[in-house]
Amino acid sequence: MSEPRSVSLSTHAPIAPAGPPAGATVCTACALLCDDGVVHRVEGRFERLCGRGADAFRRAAAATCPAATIDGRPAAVAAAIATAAGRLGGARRVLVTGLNDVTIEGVTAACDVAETLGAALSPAGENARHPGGPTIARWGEITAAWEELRDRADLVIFWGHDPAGSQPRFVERFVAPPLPHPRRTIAVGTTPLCDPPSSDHAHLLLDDDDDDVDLARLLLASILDRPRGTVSPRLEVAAAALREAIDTARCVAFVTGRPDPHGLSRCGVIEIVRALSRRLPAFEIPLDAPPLAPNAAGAALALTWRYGTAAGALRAVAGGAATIPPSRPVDALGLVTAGGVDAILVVGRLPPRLDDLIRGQIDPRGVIRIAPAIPDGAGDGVFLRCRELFDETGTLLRADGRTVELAGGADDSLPSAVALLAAIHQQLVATTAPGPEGGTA
Amino acid sequence: MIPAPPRPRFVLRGGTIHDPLHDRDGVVDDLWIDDGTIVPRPAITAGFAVVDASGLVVMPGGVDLHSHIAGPKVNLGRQMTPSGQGHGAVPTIGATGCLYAALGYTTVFDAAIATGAARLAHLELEDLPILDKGIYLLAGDDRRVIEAAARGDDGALQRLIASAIDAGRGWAVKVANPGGNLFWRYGRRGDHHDLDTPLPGLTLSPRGLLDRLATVIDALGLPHPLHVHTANLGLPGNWRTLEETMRTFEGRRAHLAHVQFHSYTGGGLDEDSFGSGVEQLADRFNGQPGLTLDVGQVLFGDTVAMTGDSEAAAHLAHATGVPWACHDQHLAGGCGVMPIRYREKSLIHAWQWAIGLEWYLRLADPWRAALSTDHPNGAHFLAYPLLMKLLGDEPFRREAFARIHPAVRNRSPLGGLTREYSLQELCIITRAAPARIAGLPHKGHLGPGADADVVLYRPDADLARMFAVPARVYKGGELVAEDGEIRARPRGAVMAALPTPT
Repeated sequence: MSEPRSVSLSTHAPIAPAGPPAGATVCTACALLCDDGVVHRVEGRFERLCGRGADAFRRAAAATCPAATIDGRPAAVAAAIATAAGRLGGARRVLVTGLNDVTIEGVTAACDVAETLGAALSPAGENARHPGGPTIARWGEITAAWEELRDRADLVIFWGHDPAGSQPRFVERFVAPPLPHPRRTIAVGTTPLCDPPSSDHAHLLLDDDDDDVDLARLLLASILDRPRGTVSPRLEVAAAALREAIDTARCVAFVTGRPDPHGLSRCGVIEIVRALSRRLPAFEIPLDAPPLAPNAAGAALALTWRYGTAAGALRAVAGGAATIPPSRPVDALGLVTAGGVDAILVVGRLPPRLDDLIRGQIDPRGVIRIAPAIPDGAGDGVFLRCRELFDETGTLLRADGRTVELAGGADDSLPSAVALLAAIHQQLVATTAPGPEGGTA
Repeated sequence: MIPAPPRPRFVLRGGTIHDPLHDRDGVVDDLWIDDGTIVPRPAITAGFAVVDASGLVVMPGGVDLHSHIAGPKVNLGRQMTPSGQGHGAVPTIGATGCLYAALGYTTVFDAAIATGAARLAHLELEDLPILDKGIYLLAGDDRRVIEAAARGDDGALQRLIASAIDAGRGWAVKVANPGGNLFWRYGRRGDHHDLDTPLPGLTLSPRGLLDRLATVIDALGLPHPLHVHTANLGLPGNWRTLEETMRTFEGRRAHLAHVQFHSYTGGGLDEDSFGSGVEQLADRFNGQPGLTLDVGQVLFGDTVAMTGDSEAAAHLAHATGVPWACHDQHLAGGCGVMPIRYREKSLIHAWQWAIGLEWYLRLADPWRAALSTDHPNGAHFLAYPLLMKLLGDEPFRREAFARIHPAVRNRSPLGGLTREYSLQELCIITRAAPARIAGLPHKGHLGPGADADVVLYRPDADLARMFAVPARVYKGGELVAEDGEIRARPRGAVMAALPTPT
């Protein structure tokens, strides 16, 4: 048997991150994760950043708060870590949440803490209530990278969703750039796009948001040459216009993302795309991440590989057992509302609704936060300040499955969220009596 | 840095050893283990704990050289088949490690990771406990690689492949439907192509791409040869494409992936013409010593199909109408995922089952084959013991054959094949051969210097029962599983190759 040449058995050697171009910083103000912007920190100037991105950098530069507090008083970081571990370890029912604006490495470090505690773990945000899993399980999906839309789609249909609100530069970066041949855009919905991306743009007005479900049914019937039911003349006209545009297109992209609690709107688009994909390149670009969740996709992915669902775990256990059955999706809001949580570890920022709920439902001493800044009104409990996400080193995931590497920023005076979580984990492991080894495979 | 504590020294006393590399076929002997490695009997045996292995069958840890356990398409699969306990058709990454280990497997490779997804896959593999693991990169589908091959610029091709392996910490290079995504990207949808159709806009054919890639990968000294998922996966009549693929590699090394899915006769829309092309293919394979293969056996039940050949997935999805998740269909590294139920009474599924088994039974040299179900495509890896029983127990196979679709019973040559795999041969195709094919000189055997990945089985006439629950599994000399219970969760190593361009 011949020996292979130069083979190494390396354990967990790091991969060099790609990182943004020199002088540029990944903007983590929203899920778009723009890596073409440039931040001149000293002068406070920004190039190619939207208002939200610039505001986020300004706020971060102006933020002043202690590195750690215990019950509202400044404390040494080591003491705060010890107190955090003690309070979490002593709690009966712990929830680990946040997670949407930390790196994937941070999410997995939070999972380690949750597993040591046997805690519940669920990302914050409305999206956690409707994890992608069941929708995908029922209908599937055909999606593509945003660059595929930019470089190829000569018909872009904004299906009830204007990205200007959630991802301000999406249209500028991925729809406005010209193709070698004309690009047509159509918005379907109750309101026009804030900033129409092409000269060949149409708005198909709907009376009600949910009319898109009927429109999808009508369009699908038209594409498949099936009988169609009776609908309003306005929808007939809209469906005919869409059909005409599709018939002359070479590649069709549907941009989706409107609130869709029952999944019916998305299902309609999925079925249309599937039918179209037999004839021509067609795909959906789902933009459903909430605006303040730069790494919601990364958190969802890491929780999926750890626990089998993007929603997290009712009781986090290494090996993936005891995950939330998909028929009973549980999210952070639901757990806190139900009053079943007496300590909470918040990693990153929270949506205001969940933050308010925590203040009303949980003993403040049991609230442990790891974040770049103390939220307004946070008093008792433990606070550990970490770097801003754009100053971290690690991996983020765009909603289209592309990774974005953070190469570390200008400010390394603060610890990373990963380091703080690892320190808490280490303390918990040290203080937790070892249980019986192993478990059932 | 704190040095790792020494791992235990012990001797497995009196086990019945199967170590095909060293021609030990059921030899009762002791196995000495020190600090994670198998060692010769030491001159001084004091300090070695004694573990009684008498009456137990001792084999090296299993090596799965073609599985799908991490990366974007696997997570799409998890989303499509959610499981409350994480042990569904696509287990969580933690459960994957534990289940493999409890089954007696200690090394696994994910066979298809897009180079752009390598970073994510490695983050996920950090969470895979116990097993040593590696990934095959889909570097052969990259546009720049294809263009360099089209120019005949082997230097550029070497540099591109080497940098992909280096950056993505890959173990090997896989090509899935060579150049196939270009046909779809440039508008030739549904135009399934043979190996000699030039790629759109290029003078290079899929055969030419395979030829250049195999040459360059050998020149780079990668431990595993080019891992080939050829064109026309799953289509009637595709046995000719596989035969032509083999012809492309005459006189050279290549590994043919999941050959079962590429061994069909027939054509057009006539289901009755569908059948087995294994006899001709096996004859050619047996005569080309540079080739190795894994089968991608189909076993009946529910599972999830997932492939980097998104065009093949599109074809299957449109044919079956099942939910279908597809990402980046026209791009290198795209994937397609869908649930599937293999049924005994389905004509096509029964043929797939019979064709896979026929492949195993027609192999002249088991050292050139690896047992696989292409997890989870053909079946879950937990079904390996059943597959081993089908190979090693001819009466059991005959009973199963009697239950499948009658047309297949009447026409499949499987009914006339009476070969039974011995324990030694099962040991070869589950560990010794896959370790050798993957290029792992320290695995798949029990000689001095090998990793102490050792499995102890209770002998049982029921091979499925015997192989399903090993009595003990050691990984690097550490007891990790005992009677199906996990005893320890070491992290396992990530294996990466270092290309050496010539």
